[in-house]
Amino acid sequence: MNSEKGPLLIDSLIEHAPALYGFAYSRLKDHHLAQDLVQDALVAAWKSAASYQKDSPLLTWLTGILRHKILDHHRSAARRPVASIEENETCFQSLNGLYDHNGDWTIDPNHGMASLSQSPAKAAQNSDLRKWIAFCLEKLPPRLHLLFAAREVDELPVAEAAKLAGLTEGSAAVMLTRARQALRLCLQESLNR
Amino acid sequence: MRTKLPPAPDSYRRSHKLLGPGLNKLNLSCSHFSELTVLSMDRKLTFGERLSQILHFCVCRMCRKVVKQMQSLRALVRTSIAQDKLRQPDPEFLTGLRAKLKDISSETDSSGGPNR
Repeated sequence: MNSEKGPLLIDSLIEHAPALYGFAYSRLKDHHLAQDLVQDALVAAWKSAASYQKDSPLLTWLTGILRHKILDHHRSAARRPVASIEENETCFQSLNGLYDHNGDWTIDPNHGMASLSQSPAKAAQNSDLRKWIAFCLEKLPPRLHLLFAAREVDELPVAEAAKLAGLTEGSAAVMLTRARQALRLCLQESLNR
Repeated sequence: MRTKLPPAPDSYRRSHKLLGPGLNKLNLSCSHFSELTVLSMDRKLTFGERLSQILHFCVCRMCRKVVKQMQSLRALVRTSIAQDKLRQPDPEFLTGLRAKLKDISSETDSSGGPNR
């Protein structure tokens, strides 16, 4: 039995497993699925340990493999190689009718949103807002969630985030703007319940 | 299907009854402004877009608050997802995973794999 492969040790892989799990969970919102994909990723990493460059950070390399596993999962779940904007149409339906023919608001976009109009730092500490944003994020289709998280949290450029989510840059850009507006509206509707 | 959000306030409707058509013709409408606001979070706006954004910002008090909302939304999303990242896997999962990796190394060992 050998627990060392090239520059890698089983221990160092296991050491990073919780961080990888956290990453997977934040993208998938599913405990068991997150664990399964982390396992797949680490098994794949272990099998291709020889391709690991010792001077690059291990977690970055592992996260890259995990991202691919998450994407593969979405691909097989959608049974379509590339998602179209239409796939997410239901999620964006709520945006219809927000403006009239002149582009004026039909609703009051600030009603019940006082807590968001304060400083972003204050809003981020508000537990009520945090509860609702988690609810609204969960309503995003999985691939859009992946795209959105890559862009917002990992702060990747749109082109890179699009590639990770298996989308063209053009449709990713459109989906991102709509996702932001849909999230804003979802949050407002939730706060005014 | 909208969950009973109240209509835009009277003062807004009054002023935009006059302003709305003109703003729309000049491509300075509230909907265009919202679009530009979210767009600017993903890419640098062109000079024309930026100008249109600034002009609308000056005339529409309601949309000014929407900019603040979008910034708060971004901060909220980041904290929310960062919190998810702190979740831990089951301890048994880690033990099982270790065993699985060890199995794989012994398999490759016995088949004369690339192990040292």
